[in-house]
Amino acid sequence: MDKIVISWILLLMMCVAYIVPIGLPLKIRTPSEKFYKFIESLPKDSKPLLMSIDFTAGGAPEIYPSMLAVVRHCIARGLRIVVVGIGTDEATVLMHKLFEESGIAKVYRYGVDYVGIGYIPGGEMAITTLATDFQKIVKSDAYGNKISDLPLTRDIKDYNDFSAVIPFDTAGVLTLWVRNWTPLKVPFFASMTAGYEPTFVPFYNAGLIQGYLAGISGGAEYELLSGFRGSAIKSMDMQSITHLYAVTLIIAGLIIPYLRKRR
Amino acid sequence: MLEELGKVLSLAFLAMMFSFQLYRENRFYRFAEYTALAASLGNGVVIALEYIRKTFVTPSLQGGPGILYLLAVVFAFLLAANYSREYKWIARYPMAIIVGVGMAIALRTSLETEVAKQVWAAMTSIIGGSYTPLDNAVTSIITIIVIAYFLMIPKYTGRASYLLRIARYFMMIGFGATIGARVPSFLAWTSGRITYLLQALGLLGA
Repeated sequence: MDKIVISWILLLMMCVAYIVPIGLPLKIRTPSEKFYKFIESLPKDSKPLLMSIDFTAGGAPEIYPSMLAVVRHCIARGLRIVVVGIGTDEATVLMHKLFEESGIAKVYRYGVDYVGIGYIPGGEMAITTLATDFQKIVKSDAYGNKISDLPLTRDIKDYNDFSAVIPFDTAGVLTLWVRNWTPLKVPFFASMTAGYEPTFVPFYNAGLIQGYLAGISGGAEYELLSGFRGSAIKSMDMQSITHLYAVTLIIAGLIIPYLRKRR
Repeated sequence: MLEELGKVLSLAFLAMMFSFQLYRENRFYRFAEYTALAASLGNGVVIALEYIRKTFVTPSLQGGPGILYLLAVVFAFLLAANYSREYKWIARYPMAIIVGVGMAIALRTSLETEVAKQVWAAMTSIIGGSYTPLDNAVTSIITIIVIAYFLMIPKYTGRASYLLRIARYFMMIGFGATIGARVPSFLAWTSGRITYLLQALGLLGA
């Protein structure tokens, strides 16, 4: 079958699945449940959560719904958050979108309950310095305020001052976070693309990551658990139907050449 | 008005990008591709300059950022020597520092997280843990067979040589699953654009 025909069928299937949802069942997996339970277990006056936007605008459709659901859950629980970005310089733009869509400013006071630092260059060196000397690497937030002037961040010295670290990743810096933060025994949760999940399962099995949300299905599971339904649940039908289509094509691609050869 | 214009532009660019897959490579697709690259690069440059302003220029004007910052800026400029055939060697010094520090930071903890902890996790008990006994048994068997494959690599032809073939199958399944798992990512990225398209056309609620 022509590549163009395959693509058109895929596009039409996606559109139909969106417009006419079937509501296929969704199974909650253990890593997603652990993630949700951890956030649920944190008391209101706990130390802030450090979240990192390490996904690009292109990869946002897969990871952003997870982050939005987690942030909305944190707001509902009254948990304080600090948002940084290491993997991509698009982090600051995405952070503004996150703050706007989560409605955080309506409930929280900036500088007291949440702080947006935005993109910090430096890759692994920045990640390791965030853990050991926060004030040294972060001088000001994304709005030009001095970190030492904001009540939430002025007393943050190192990893000990965070309840947990949660990188949301498509940019491939999650390994760097794992390498530099998990030996410090800080609770570590993450969200990664479905393609990267097999890479991080060994870290989860080794107990380095306590829970994770993988791809759009991880986001949908979190939306379902937290009750903050968003675009991830909406796109699950589309995911399931197009996966079925992809599997059919793979099987056809294996069988048809075999049958042709036999003739 | 500006918002509407932005919506029309983004839909036009979306159509141009999709035209590659739904039709064939064409000049509209190339235009959209180059524009996306240029916009991304432009954003990156502005953010980098802004960071230099925040961490170096402004503190310098307010009494000095410290000798280490100055040194870092000098070394950063030395990287530009890469563009000159005659002075290319100068860029090796900052590059050596970047690679050296990077390696030192990476090696400091990678042995613990990527080797020791993984080995410990592989030595799992068959019963217990987050997985079923069958999962644990399969994990243990595959771990042993694949380790045996690498230990037996020097053209082993003895009785247990069938293990090499089985190990190869397991590895191919593993690699295949890893690559296959990227399909949901690509579909999710496409779905993001499809949602936007349907919302913009009024076929889906916001």
